[in-house]
Order: sequence, then structure tokens, then C-alpha cells
Amino acid sequence: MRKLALSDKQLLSVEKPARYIGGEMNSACKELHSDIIRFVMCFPDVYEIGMSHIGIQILYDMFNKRNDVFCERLFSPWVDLDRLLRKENIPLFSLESQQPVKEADFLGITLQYEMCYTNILQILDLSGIPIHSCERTDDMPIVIGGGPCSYNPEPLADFFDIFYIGEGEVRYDELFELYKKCKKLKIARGDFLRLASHIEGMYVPCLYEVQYDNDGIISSFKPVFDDVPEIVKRQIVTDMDKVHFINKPVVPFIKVTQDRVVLELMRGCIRGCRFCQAGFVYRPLREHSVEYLKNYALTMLEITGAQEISLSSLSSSDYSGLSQLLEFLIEYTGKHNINISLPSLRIDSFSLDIMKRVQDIKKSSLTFAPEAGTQRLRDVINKGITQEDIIGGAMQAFKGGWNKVKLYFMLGLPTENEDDIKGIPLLCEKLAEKYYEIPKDERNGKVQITASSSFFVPKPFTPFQWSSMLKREQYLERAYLVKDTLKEQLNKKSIKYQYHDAEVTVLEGVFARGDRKVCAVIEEAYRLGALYDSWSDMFDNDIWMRAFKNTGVDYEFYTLRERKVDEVLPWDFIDIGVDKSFLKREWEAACKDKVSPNCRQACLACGARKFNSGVCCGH
Amino acid sequence: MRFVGHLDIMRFFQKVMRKSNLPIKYSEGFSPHQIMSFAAPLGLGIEGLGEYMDIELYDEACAGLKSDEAVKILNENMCEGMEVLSFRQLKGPKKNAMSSVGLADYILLFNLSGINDEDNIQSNFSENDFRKYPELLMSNESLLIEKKSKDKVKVLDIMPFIRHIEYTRNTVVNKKSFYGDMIFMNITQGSTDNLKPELVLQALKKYGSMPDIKCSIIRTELYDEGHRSLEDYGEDIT
Repeated sequence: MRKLALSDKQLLSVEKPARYIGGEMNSACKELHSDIIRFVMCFPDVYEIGMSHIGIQILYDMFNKRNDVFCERLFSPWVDLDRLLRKENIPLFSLESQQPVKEADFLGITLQYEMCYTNILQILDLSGIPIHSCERTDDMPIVIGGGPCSYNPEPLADFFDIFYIGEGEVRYDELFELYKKCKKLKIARGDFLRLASHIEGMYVPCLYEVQYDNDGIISSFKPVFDDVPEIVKRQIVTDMDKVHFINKPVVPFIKVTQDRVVLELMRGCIRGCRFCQAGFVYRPLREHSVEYLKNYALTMLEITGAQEISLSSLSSSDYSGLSQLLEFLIEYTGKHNINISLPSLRIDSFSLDIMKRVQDIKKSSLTFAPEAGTQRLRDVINKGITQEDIIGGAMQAFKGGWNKVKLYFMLGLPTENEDDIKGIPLLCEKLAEKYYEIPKDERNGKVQITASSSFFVPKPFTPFQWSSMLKREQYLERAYLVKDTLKEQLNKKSIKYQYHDAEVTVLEGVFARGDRKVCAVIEEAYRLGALYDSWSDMFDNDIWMRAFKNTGVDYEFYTLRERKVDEVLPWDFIDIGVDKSFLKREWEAACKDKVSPNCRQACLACGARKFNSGVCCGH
Repeated sequence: MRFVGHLDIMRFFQKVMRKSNLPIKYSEGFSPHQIMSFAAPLGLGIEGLGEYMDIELYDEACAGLKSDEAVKILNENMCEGMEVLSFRQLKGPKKNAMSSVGLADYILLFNLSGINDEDNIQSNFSENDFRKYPELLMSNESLLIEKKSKDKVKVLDIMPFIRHIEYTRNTVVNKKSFYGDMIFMNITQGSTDNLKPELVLQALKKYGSMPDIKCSIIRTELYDEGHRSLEDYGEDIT
């Protein structure tokens, strides 16, 4: 039996102790010795959220296939355990070996959303690792970050030794080989990092120097040594059918957020919605073959015993083998009493037919993402969906027996005006009217429309990366306008409206496009007690406002300012494969309310062609 | 495993059933679930050596399936810390495990250094001390214990729920050996008079002058009201 880091009494004093004990089915178990690279893989949020993430599972499985690597997992301790660890001076430990994180060779942290940044500092702090990269000594783990937020790593630059830019399957082997060599030759930490920067996709922030002009805008961003590359290239998998295939997924004991097999259909997206970072940073669209996915689905269902399988991609309707794959899955899952969930499907007769076969219409709701209230604004954001598409799709669904509809919108999009805002309640009203046009005996009771809006946060590497944001009060005014307009409408009782937190939006805006000056703010907020900021009941905006004040950083510099197109942006040193000039053309098109065709309709020469893969090669 | 809650254990077994490909019955509807029920949920932090669950299988599909084969298949899909000991068929009038439970055996184990380690016994206390605690406890007329629920505190006399309690040493339960001093008890369990072993531990400290010594709690067997083991409800399929 493994020895646990915490005593029974300690474990029983915290909520959900099974979060901290490891030992789940298929979790790795290796002996620690000096020749093995111990890699602690961390998702900086609670176990249930972290274990729902497929990326961690892919890398965990891939690393553990190597005999010379022991990959373990680590999640954020909840506040109760946080208090206990501090009080009793227990160093943070990984789940598998239950040994201190501080003694590992690598600490890998995935950056899935901006509001987890203070949790990263908690992990370092509780592990006894200095939070600043420059203060770490040779015996401490190399702290490496990756994931979507690493496309602008600058607000975290002080805390990480390396950022891995791109898909994890590509360069880790090279990094491990280098590490082994350096360890054998007793090469110092700094020298290892410098050598690591020579591997494509590795960004070592301490090897770059940033200078600012009097306005606080970057005037130069350069490596400090000649051998360190000026540009860091994003790494991608080019042959999706040869990519690592998980065959030992860890099956959690406790119920996690996504307790199901996730079938990743493809990476990237053809749509080019101008607000969507994923639509640009994961280009080009690369599909798995139907055969690969069938095989994968069966293997995973058999190994995990899962009760549900979910399709995952940015826009599953664009997967070219969808009907073939679904026919197969529906037959198999029907036989074995397994549920299928189908997120991100465009609502049309094909998808409605599929949903009817796999879901209980009375319980399920349909989801549309018009994103904006008017056609003009939908054109600005290049959302390839029209009012007719939405109403037509909804009518088909209503006639098919559905009566619950969810609609997702964004407020605060570039060029948004009062008509666009009021367009949200109007579209909802229109759907309700259309529903009640159906004869009473052909419809299924009352219609329930739920509209939710988030506030738009401009992201790096999108055509809106130059755009300004709004003040907190302005966001709220827009949400109130939607709410008040809804109240005046005839079908107000059929329509519910929810909107996101405006204070979190402003912070996300700062982190998404921040530079290295933001590091001090995150550190200060953590010192003042900020933690689990993505949890609405834990988030405390006052702490953050104090942190900005104490560090003298003006957050409106990041949110309210429209960037000039020739400005040096904090993330310009990363080459994601899509050219800045393309993003600029798209920004200009957006300002003229012009739509662009998707990748299958026409190639706009975005730059991703150079990867020589996927949709760019006609697949 | 003792830190995994009851609902999660159920989910774990649902997955084991799927992986084992046993022809378990499902409920009807769009999200069918397996017909499976546990005799009595085990409290968090408590180890179980004799737990029971009922499942329903399709007759035709499991024709020819023998008990020892089923045990083997299930254990091939198990994880460390969990083992299926027997697989038996219930005959006669249908009464599920949950409604049958009336009594349970628990042991309080004071040797915490590892189950098969005879050397490392908490040495500050003598055998006579341990012998004394249950005797002192049972010399009381009533055992009033504060029982905390969500926001209320209730005073409860647990004496009628303790059927038997005594000191014991070095014992074997379900092929597992336990060394050192322990207190064995048989207490009521189930939907009507459920007594949590933690309350007995509390009473041992309050009425049996037992000091605050670390111990682990293990449930070793479940019975019906007439002290018939649930194991005896079923028959091996051969």
C-alpha cells in the first residue's frame, strides 16, 4: 500500500479527501530513483475540474510511456487543505508518489484560463518553490507552462522558467533528452534553460529583455544572447492519425465535471470568427480519420467503463466524417447503454435528427450561439450565421417537439451600438413569437428561452487584438439595456436573461493582453489573499483594485486603449503560424462590416499554409 | 479507498460492471442506469471488509456463469484496495440487501502502523487498559451522546443499539490479519436504528475513560436483524 502524505485525521478534516489520495484506476505507479525524470503535471484548479481536461490525460499517458519519466498529477488544494498545509508546515505533494513537489525535476502547469493565475502562485508557494523564476536554485524543479494562455505568457513571465508554445505532443521528448544530458553533466539551471531555448517552441522569459517608452508601450523586446531565438515558433501535430493515442486513461473515483470519454474530432477551425482566439491559434483545421476515432472511442469506452461519450471540437458540424462516425457510435452506444453528448453542433435538420435519436427531447434544450443581436454585428465578428439560420433551425426544432432554447451572446463587441444591444431581446422575442405561431396541438407546452451574455474580452492573435474594451459601468449599462428591453416585450415571461460578471471581464482583459508589468499585480493580489478567482463566490474585486493601486499599475492602460496597428504587442515574439498582416486585414474588414469566407470556401492566405497540413492541403 | 464516498463507490462499480461485460440489467428510458444497490453506505474514512451489493442480471445472458468465474472477471477490472470476495445468487422471496440489514460488526483497531506489522503497536497502553474501556462503558445504565446533524444537536441514548462490545487481540477477518489491541462491537445498522461507530468511539471516551488514542474503524460484516450474515442469503452458482 502507498503511504499517503496526509494522516487519516488530516484527510477527514477536509472536504472531499479523495481529491488528494491518488491511486485511481490506471494512475501511474513508478519507483522514484535518481535516473528517472519526475514530472509533476499540474492543473491549477480543483481535482474535479482538472481531471476533466483531456490535454492533461494525453500528456500524462504519453510521458508515462517513457521508462525514464514518471509523470504525476497535481491540482490546487481547496482552501481547507491550503490552511492545513500552512498551519502544519506540510509541503505540497503530488498525487501518485505523495512526495513533495519541490523535489521533482519538472513542474508543468497548464494555463487554461486567465482567472487561475493566483492559483499558480499558491501551488509554487505551498510547494516551497520561490515564485520568481530568478530566485530558484539548481535543486528545484523547472517550472514550465503551456496551454491556451501561453499565447500571451507575459503576465506570468516572472513566475515560469519555460513556456512551451504549441501542442505538447511535439517537443517534450527533445526537452527530456536535453534535461537528462544536462543532469548527467551537472550543468547549472541557467545554462540548461539557455540550451532549452534552442528547442523550437520553448520560450524562456528570463532570456529576453523588454523596454518601454514613456507611455508604457513596448519599445523593444529582444533576447539577451545572440544564440537565443528572437521568434518562438508554435509547435503543431501535422499528422493527426499518427499522434499519441491514450490507452491508459486515469479513471477518477470521485465525480468529476466531465465524467465521460472525450473524443477529440479535430484541432483548429475553418470559421475564422474574429473574436475567437482558438479559431486562429489552432490553425489549420486538422481532422482525425473516422477509422482512428472509431478505434479510439471503442478502446476508451472499454478501458474506462464510462457511461457517456462526448464529441469535442471547436465546431463539430464541420467534421467531414460526422455522419459516418455518428452512425457507428449510435449503434454501439445503443447496444451498450452508453449516452452520447453532442456539444457544438450547428442546429439543422441533420443534427436535429441525430439528437432525437440520442436525447430525451422533453428534457434537453437546444443551444444557439448567435453571439450578437443584429446581422450587422454578426458580420463584423464574421459569425457565419444569419437570422434565417437561427429562426429556421429553431422552427424545425419546435416542430420536432423541443421547447427549450438557449442563446449565447456577447456584449461589448467592437462597433456595438444601441441597435445591436436591443437586437438581443428582439431576437429572443422573435423566437417566442414564432413558437406560438405553431398550432397549439402541435407544440409542446410553453416555450422557454434562456439568453445569456458574456462581455467580450479581446484576445491576442485575433483581428480584435488591437481593439479597446469598456469600463465596468459601461458593460453593466449594456446588460441593463438588454434586461429592460426584455421586460417591455410581450413574451417577457418566456424569456430568461443572465449576464456575466463585469469585474471579472475587466481583469480577464488585463491578463489576456497584459505585459510583464502585470506580474507584480498578480503577485500582490495573491499576497493580499486572492485565490480561486474563477469561482464567483471566491472572487473579490476589492483585492485586485488594491493590488493595482499598491503596484502603481493602471489597468485601464490595458483595457481602454485601442492599440495602434504598428505597436509592438507583448506577444509579437510568438509566431503562431498566422501572419499579423492577415489579422490586420481582418480587423479592417471587420470595421467595414465585411464578412470573410471560411477555409473550405476560399484560402485567405492567413499564413497557416506553411504547416503543410489539414485543410490547407485539401483535407 | 476509505476516503472515497458512497456515491463515488457506486459510480466506480458501475464502471467495473461495464468493463467486466456482465449482463447487468438497465432501467428504461433515455439515460438508463444499472440496477444495483448497496446494503449500507460505509462512512467516509471507514474501511469495509464485508460489504454487500445487489445487482440484477439478464437470466438468458448469464446462463452458465459460475460464481468463481464472475469473481475472477470482476477482480480483473478492480483497482488496488478493492476486491470482490463472493458472487452469489439470491433465491426465494425478493428482499434487497438494503432492507435486510439490521446489524453490523466493527472493530476499532489501535495498531495503525500497517495491517501486517506486528511490531509497531502503540505501546503506552497495556492490554489491561484496552480490556477496561468496553467493560466500563457497558457498566453504565445509559449512554447519552450528542448527535450533531446539519444544524441541530440531539442527545441520544445509544445503549440499546450496542448489542455486544468487547476487547480482542490478533484476529483474521476475510483472509486479512489484524494484529494488536482492538475493540470489537456488534451494533444496529440499517434504515431504522442506524448507529454510527464514531458515536460508540465518543461514548468510549466519555463513559469508558478511554483516552484520545488514534484508531481506525473497520466494518467487518453485515447481518440481518436476526444476526444472520447477508452472505448466507445467497448461494454459490456452480
